[in-house]
Amino acid sequence: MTSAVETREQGRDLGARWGGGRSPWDIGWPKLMMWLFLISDAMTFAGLLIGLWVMRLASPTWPNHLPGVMNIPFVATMTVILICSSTTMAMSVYALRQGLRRQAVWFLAATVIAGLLFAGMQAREWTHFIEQGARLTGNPWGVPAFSFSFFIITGLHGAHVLGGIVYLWLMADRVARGVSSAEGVEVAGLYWGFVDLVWVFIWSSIYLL
Amino acid sequence: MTDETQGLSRLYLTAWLVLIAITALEMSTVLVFHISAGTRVVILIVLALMKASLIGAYYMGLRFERLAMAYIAILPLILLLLMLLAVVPDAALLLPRH
Repeated sequence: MTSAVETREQGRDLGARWGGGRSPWDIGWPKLMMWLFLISDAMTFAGLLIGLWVMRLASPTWPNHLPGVMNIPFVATMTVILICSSTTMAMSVYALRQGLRRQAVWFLAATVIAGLLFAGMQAREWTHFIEQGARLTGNPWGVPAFSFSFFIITGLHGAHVLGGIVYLWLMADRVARGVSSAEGVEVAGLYWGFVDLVWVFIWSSIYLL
Repeated sequence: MTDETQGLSRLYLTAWLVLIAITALEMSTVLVFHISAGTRVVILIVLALMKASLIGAYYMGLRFERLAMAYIAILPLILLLLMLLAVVPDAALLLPRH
């Protein structure tokens, strides 16, 4: 329950926060910069996914549920692996905050391994799709936009995963050497959380819809 | 401090279990239940938003930041809605021409 006095107090607090002289978001610049990058990146993915939805709406058929085209249990496993990797990433951030450097490195290593597993499974998925005759410009099912959007969207996400693996690997090395602060790992964790967040929408849009 | 961190790891564990449960549910809308495409779309959007908010709140720490940070993250969603409103009528116009 908020009383009138509390509301006035909050108003004064707001003025103190936004009136200049201090960071209104109360976070360090590395974190703020990462957030700004992630938001612009989110807009890129949103643009691609909206493009996919519009093409689907405009197309009388969409072949993603034809038997044998997509292996949903396989991709569900990839999704679960990515969820597990975000959990180990979050655990790493908290281990380091408690000063447990060794534990933080192990959690980071687990995240990197899960990322590699995801990327490997993605490569298998692509191979399977290409073997069936899907290309960037066309496919045997007669809806060129289907394979085009598949390669572009999962490809851009895959590039983010590969970049994330390198980023987290470097962070693990820095933490092991005692060079990186807890904030540095937290910023890396933001990036990895975002990779998982985008996959939630890609998995729903490309495989399940 | 230890109590707090123990609470946090329990929180991550809960978020992890819920995320996996939702993934299983999402998969079942295609593999187990035979529901119409329209209903499936609505269910999938709701479930995806639930997953996304869990990841944003706990794995990306928005739950522990100032509310102004959450606003930064929500702003693109509003822009996304505007863009959808702008382009979806085009798709609806294209459909009858096939």
